[in-house]
Amino acid sequence: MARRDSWLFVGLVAFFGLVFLALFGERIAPHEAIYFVPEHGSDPRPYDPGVVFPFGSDVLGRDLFSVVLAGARATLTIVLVAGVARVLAGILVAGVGNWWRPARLVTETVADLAAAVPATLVALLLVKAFVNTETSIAVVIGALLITGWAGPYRVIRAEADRVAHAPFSEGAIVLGISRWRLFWRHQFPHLMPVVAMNLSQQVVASLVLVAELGVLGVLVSTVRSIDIAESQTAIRIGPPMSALVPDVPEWGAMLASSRTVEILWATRWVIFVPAAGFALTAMAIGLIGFSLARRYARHDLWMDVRGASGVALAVAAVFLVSSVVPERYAGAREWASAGRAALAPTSDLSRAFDDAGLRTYEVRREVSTIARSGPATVTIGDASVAELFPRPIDPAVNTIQVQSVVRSGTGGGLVEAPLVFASRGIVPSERPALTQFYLRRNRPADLGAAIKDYPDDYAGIDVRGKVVLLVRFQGVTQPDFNYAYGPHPEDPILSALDRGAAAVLFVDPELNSYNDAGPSGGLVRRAGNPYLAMEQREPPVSASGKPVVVLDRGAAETLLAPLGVDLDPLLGFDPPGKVWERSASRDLGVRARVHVPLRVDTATFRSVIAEVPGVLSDAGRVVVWAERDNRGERIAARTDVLAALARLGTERRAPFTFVDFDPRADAKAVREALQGQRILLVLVLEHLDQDELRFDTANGDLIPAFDLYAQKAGARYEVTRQTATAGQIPTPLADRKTVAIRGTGGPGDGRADATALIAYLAGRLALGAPELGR
Amino acid sequence: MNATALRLLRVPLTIAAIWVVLAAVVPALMSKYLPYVMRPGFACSKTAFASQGAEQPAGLCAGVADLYGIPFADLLVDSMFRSLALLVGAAALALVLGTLLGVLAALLRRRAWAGGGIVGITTLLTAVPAFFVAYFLQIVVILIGASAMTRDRLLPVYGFGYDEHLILPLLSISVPAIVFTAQLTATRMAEVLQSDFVTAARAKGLRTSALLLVHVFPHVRPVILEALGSGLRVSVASLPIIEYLFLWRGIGQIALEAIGVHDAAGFIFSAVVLAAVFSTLSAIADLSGPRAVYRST
Repeated sequence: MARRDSWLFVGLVAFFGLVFLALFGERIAPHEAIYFVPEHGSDPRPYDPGVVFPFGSDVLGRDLFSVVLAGARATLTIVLVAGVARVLAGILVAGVGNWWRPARLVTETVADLAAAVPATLVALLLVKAFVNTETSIAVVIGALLITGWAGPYRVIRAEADRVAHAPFSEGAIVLGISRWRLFWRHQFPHLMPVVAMNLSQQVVASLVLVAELGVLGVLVSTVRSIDIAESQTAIRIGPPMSALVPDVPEWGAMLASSRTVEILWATRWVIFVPAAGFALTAMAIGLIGFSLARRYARHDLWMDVRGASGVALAVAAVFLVSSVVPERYAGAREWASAGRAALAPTSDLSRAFDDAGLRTYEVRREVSTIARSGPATVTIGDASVAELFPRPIDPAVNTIQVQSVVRSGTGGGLVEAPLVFASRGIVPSERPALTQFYLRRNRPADLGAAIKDYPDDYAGIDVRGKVVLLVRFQGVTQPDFNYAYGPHPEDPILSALDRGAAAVLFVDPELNSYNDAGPSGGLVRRAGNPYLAMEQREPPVSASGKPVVVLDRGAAETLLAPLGVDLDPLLGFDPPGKVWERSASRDLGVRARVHVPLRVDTATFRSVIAEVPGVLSDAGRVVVWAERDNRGERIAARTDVLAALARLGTERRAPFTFVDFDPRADAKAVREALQGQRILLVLVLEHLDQDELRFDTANGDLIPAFDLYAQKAGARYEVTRQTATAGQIPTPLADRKTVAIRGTGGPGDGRADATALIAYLAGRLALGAPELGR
Repeated sequence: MNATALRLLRVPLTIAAIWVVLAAVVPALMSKYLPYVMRPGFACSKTAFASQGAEQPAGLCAGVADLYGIPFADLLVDSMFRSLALLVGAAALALVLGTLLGVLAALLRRRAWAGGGIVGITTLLTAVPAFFVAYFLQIVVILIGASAMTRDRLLPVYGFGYDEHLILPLLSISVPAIVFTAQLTATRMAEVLQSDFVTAARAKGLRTSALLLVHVFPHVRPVILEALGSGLRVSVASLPIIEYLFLWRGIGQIALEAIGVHDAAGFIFSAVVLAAVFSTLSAIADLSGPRAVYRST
């Protein structure tokens, strides 16, 4: 090189600057893209430059400068590949057109078509139609290629035509040189300046198009919708709380979040910083193209390619630089692999905690439950019926003939008292007819109107202190083939108890056909058991009370046949206009014995809290919360993760607090035990027996962070797309940032991944990562 | 039939072909994504349908006409005129400013700038896309207004009107055309200034103004036409985004919003209009003379 070409030097500097940015932009950024500052005093987001970050923040509170640097790789990859693809396609089509002249007509026409349609519109349509999770970058590059190959084609074709008719080409043809050699050796070097110029123009054009798509709010990849309101103490009016954060962070998307004219004042910096990135890149690429064009206007490319040692040196230099710019928190990866290695099947968690040297203490809670201790029995005279004990789950039709109802207000114990028959417990005055106003079409007929002339079943009897026998009132058929349904069984039962009954025997002819799980289809339609529902709605509070036993028709006949009580007229629906002369109620003159044996079980539930010792008291702690199953059994996968983290934690003084929580006790006691500590984060381990991990959190600023942790820790995970609302995830410790770690995907083993992820998180925390320590 | 007629004949053929291709492809593409309304605060709400009467279901935009509550034909004609205003303005600005700047650059050229100095700088300027200029202008105007602490601004930063509303969109859309024209004019001018007849005229003592007007400018004139065609093509390409940013509601913005609301007919019509303008400009550029951009490099 006789004279140093300053343009070439500038071009080289620009080129290597861009390469460096693409490779290491993420690392040299002052903050990571996952670092959010959700609030800063009373300053509104986006923060102005100098308030939190020197170049201001985006609407979610991330450092704009850092995000621009982090997005350089995706942006530059897209535009470089698209630019090269456009020019290559142009060269290819031009080559076809030049090689075989008749094809020229086709190529010209198609190029005209492709050039004439506005690129923005076509690219927008293509990206909208084809972008999905897997193929985003490829689709964008494809869209850029389809909209932009015609420009290079026209320029290169024109230049190729010029070169083809140049004297040196004609001379070479006369000398009998082969067509391929003519092109490659003699014509191609002359095309170099045009190709170089065009390449830079096309890269810049791609850059502009990507930016335009961003301005139009069409992000080139799938997005996460992040809302950081839950991470704030106060909610302010201002720019949006939530924003779309794309998977592939590129600069166009940064323009998207700030596009509305109405808030242009608030978001002016949000536009300016990525726009400056765009402009500088465009200028750098323009410079590269220009310097290349200048050099190869007078210089043969092959001379440089032969002496490629300079390029090799530069590539080596770039990789040398990579050792100077280390990966952020690289040490935390080692924590992750240590966590993975520490995972071992653990049978006894308490022992594992003790072996690891954790400070453990138990949080106890005593809970009483009321359970049946034997079958309920009803004896009248010599006849006796008994409940099935224990009660089968989901019994078949005709299994249940007797069922006790144990709930708040009713109860167990032994009652022996005179039996009184209260018929169906109908008291017309308690159920007045509805006024016309409440009657609607397509509703059951009004029961009150249907029974207004019925006799009062309680009129002639005294039920106080006696065993009351009731029959379920099904209802009254109406003349118009409608039904006035009788009351829910709960009403007559409670009504009898309110009147002072000592026990209630309730005859429900349908008892043996009910279904535990609720209404079901199948061959026989079965209604849900109303008595189980009553028990669930109001669980028992004490073991003693007034026993209530429901009998089906068979059981009732066994008991009542000797007494001569005929239930038949009372069962089923009454025909329309049926007139009851008098109530069937009467004192039966016998004693009945009703026994519902109950017992009180008192259980103590122990949740274990284990802390890693030797951590400064003011250092924030990470609570790892593992719940046992409903019966208080530890779940093996969660136990293994806790034990592995316990070993790792003591070894490295990671600020873990483990909670081995029994869900039968409530979290209040644990909450109180942890009250004095500074808790940064609560990690709730949920089923880990699946292939991939999934993170759910209401704290939007943690979403990108956890995806990054999982990626760095080598865990298989599903990208979190949305901020969960506070109700969707368990929040054992209210007001603390909480992330639920769950399995998703097919069956598999998430233990190692979960351990590695949490270990990685601890490693970052130990290395001073700022995003958790706020 | 001569080459010029052939070239001109290709324009309607191209337009027809684009129409056919779009009509075949666009509905299929639109079926692959869900409709969306691009601009926040401009959903198809009940108020948007107030002028349409009750038979129009609320919350549903069947087409761009529903977005604005204007009949389809009226909307398209109106927006075509709005876009035309921008393009004609850009053409005028490019002709006047671009030529002046180009001539100035060629005359000011010194040995130190030798080679492609001017070409380099103008290339860099063409690299700044029109919508950056738009954003920049909007922010500058807003900043000036804010520093005065008054609510009214120097200029309206968005909206339509054949008044001061025109200024910012026109400036943004014409920057590429101006720069392109200046670049080509300067290159051609520099070439002509180096030719022997100019040297001869100078040697004979002709005044610079006479030299330029009589001897140089006739050589530059065809290039200006070509530059105008090429530069305006860039303007047409950035028309959608500029109109969208300034809420100009021209044909480009209609096309963008038609993509959002699955209005295939509206999109095809707008795109074909834009393509027609583009092809016509291409034909003008092709016919007005040999390309001179890369001669100087």
